[in-house]
Amino acid sequence: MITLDHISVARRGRALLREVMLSLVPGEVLALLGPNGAGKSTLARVAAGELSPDSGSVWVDGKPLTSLPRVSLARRRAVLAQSTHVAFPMSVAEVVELGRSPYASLASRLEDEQAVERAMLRAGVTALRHRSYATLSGGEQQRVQLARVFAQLDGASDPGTRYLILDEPTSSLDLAHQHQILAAVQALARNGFAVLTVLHDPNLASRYADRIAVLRDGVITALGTPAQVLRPATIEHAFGIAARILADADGSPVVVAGSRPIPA
Amino acid sequence: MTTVPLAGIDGSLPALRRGAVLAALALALGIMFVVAVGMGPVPISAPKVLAVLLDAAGLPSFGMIEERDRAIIMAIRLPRACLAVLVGAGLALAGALLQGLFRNPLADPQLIGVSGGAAFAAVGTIVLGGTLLIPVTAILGVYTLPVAAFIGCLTTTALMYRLSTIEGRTFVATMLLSGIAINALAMAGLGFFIFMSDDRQLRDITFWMMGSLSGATWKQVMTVAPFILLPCVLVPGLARALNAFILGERDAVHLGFDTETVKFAAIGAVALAVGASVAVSGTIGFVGLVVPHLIRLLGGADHRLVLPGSALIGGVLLLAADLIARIAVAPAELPIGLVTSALGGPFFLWLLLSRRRTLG
Amino acid sequence: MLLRLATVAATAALVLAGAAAAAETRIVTLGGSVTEIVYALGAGERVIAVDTTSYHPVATHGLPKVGYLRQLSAEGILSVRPDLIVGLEEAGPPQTLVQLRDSGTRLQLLPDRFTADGVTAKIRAVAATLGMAERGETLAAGVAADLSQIESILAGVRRRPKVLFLLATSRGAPLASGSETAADAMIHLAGGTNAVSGYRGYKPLSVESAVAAAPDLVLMMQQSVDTLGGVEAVLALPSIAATPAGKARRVFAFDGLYLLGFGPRTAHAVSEVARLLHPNLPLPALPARDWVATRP
Repeated sequence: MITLDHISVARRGRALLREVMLSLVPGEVLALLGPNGAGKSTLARVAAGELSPDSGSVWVDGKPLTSLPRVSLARRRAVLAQSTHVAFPMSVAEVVELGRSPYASLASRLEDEQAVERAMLRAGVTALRHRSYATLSGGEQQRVQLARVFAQLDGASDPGTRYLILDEPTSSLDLAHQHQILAAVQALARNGFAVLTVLHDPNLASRYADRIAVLRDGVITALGTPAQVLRPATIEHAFGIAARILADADGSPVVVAGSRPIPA
Repeated sequence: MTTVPLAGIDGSLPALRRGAVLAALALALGIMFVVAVGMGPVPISAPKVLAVLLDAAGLPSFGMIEERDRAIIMAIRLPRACLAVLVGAGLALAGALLQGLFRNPLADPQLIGVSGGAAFAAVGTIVLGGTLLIPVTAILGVYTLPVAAFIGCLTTTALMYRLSTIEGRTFVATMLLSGIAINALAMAGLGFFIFMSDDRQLRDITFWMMGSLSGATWKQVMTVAPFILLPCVLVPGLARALNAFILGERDAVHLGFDTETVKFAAIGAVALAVGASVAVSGTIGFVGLVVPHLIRLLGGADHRLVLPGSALIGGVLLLAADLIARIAVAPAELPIGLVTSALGGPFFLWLLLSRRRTLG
Repeated sequence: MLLRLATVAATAALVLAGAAAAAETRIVTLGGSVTEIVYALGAGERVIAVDTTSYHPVATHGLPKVGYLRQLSAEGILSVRPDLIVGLEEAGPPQTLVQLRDSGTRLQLLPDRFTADGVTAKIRAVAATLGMAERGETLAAGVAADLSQIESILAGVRRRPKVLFLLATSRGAPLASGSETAADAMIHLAGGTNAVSGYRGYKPLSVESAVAAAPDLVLMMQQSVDTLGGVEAVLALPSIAATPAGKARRVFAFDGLYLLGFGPRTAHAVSEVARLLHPNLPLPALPARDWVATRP
């Protein structure tokens, strides 16, 4: 479990996060929703250890994040950015193999290869393995990066939960690719991983998240299952826009934003 | 979890191919070394070269060994070939490190002021050696210039590192930019020295800036070797980290690398290797820029290949360039920097143009 | 009988001495003045290669060039298989000299002093190195006699015109020669004073300092004049136009090696410059010398 305990972050006198409390539980996908500048990415960066909070602390399975050795932490927690630029020409297989870096001293070459194969299969990029990363579309590139973080978390040497932190992983992708990525991530959570992801689209969160935390001005204003959180009042409060909630065939909420309430 | 059939896995192939490429390059270096020692403006037949080398190695030799042949091979060609290998390896390795660290295929020691600082200091000793620096030259003698160049290189590198490090974190983009700024400063200072120089000093400066391995001695080889071999031995340890840097520094951190240590070690290795190279050979352009591209064309961007491969190709290239420099206009000699630029310039243009085609 | 024996012995000694001198038939010369001296001594046919500062006499033009005096390559020089390398102490770099010595080839480097004594000493040293002491004595005595003849005439002259020596390279402002330069020495030998004083070596000349120096005559190397684009271009330089020399169009150029080489032609160069400085002085023509026969 990753626990964010009373996290506050300020930059140039402006509070980005105020006393945020949040826990990430094994087996769940937790989505961070909110308008631009609400502090979603800041919170994800604090959880990833990229940013030290001004006050408060981050705990990973009961230990302070800062006390964990960086390599064993890397074997248990991976981070995926919005998009990743690869500086030199590399094949897909080579990029995925970079995920095995934390296992340099542990895994045999065979174990690494198998982990790379599993990761590519899971992310659906096996067929791209010999392609040059730079020539792929944005969606393909993001799937390769997903395979890379899968490979990073594929190891039995360290006990405990595997964590995946994603910062707007689908923002530059088309509809089909958005769903592909999040479905793969959701499948990971079903295997016991804990996933924290920043999302823009409430409907993607509704479909793939087990819980949603809504942020506004650095404060969590709502936290719960999609059905609990995605209500007209919450959406309007967070995003400042009117919204209607419909029910999908499976009962999950569908947000239609910008619409006027239907007159009675 | 799904088990994947072993057939179709080509993961082990790159490792094997890496080994094969490196072995081939090592062989090429060996062959080029023998060619470089065997050839020169003084014609010495291959059996005679072999006889001298066997004799020098303490092995039973054959035939008559002429003292002049022995002097030319042992005192002139061998130390010179060793120095070419060291300097070539040092400059190319530094280029590979900088390109990896800055994630920039155009980075090289000349761009970011590492060799600019050395040049400033070296030219300073040429111009001021007879006046202001007399107390120094009195102590260091002919070593004044190499020592100054080495110190100049370390100083500018340290300055660049300091300027881009805030509260223990080094910002790579800032480092690249401050390096370029420091280089501009060093060039301005150098321009001032050139302005102050007289005709003879100007000629000395011009020749130094074009680089040369002439006058290589065993003493130089021994002095320079540790500064270049140490990075060559230690740097492969940075390969995995630099591979992660290809994704970006942030991702390298998340992959468990201590990126601050990596940056410090890489920059330190660059300063040592370039400082020592420039000190004994002057500024030799294009090796640091072009060689890493060559090895990437041969075997991909994996730094486990690029770092040792650059060192090997650097050695081969400089041996070849020096051979051309020695025999092209014999009995005179071309500055080696002229040769490397003449070879490296067109190659780099070709690289740019072919890249433009593939990347649009 | 005894006489015959003595004659045989003497002949043998002569043959041996000749053999020792003739042993070195493959000479590389480094430095323009040294090369000139070797040719003036009549040993030109033994020279097999020269450095790039050696371009007089014309016979040197067809010889292999071993590079610039201060940027020599040991194996390059050895590749022409010399048995004697003779040059100025300025030759380098130092490691190349070490390697040349280690190769077992005879290497003789001589000091270059910009005085009358320096020239004759250099001539004698080169001659001794070549085993031609006698010819060297003749040459040195001839040059010394010519120089002292000019010196004695100039000794009584009180007026010493101010001469500015200007060196132009391909970059920026022309350089003016201060003290401790070959140009400074030449100006003094020819009965002038250096218009620029207060520093050693060559420094860029600003317009103001040129005006302050107020030279009566500007002296240059022909090579510098060519670099700047001819005498008219020199006269048009702001730093020259405003000086007495510029206004009187008194800018004169000589070949660099002839003027500043301090070789066997030095006395003639001094005499030519002296005539420019003292047009009213009855300077007699120097005796014809075979070593000044050709001038490039």
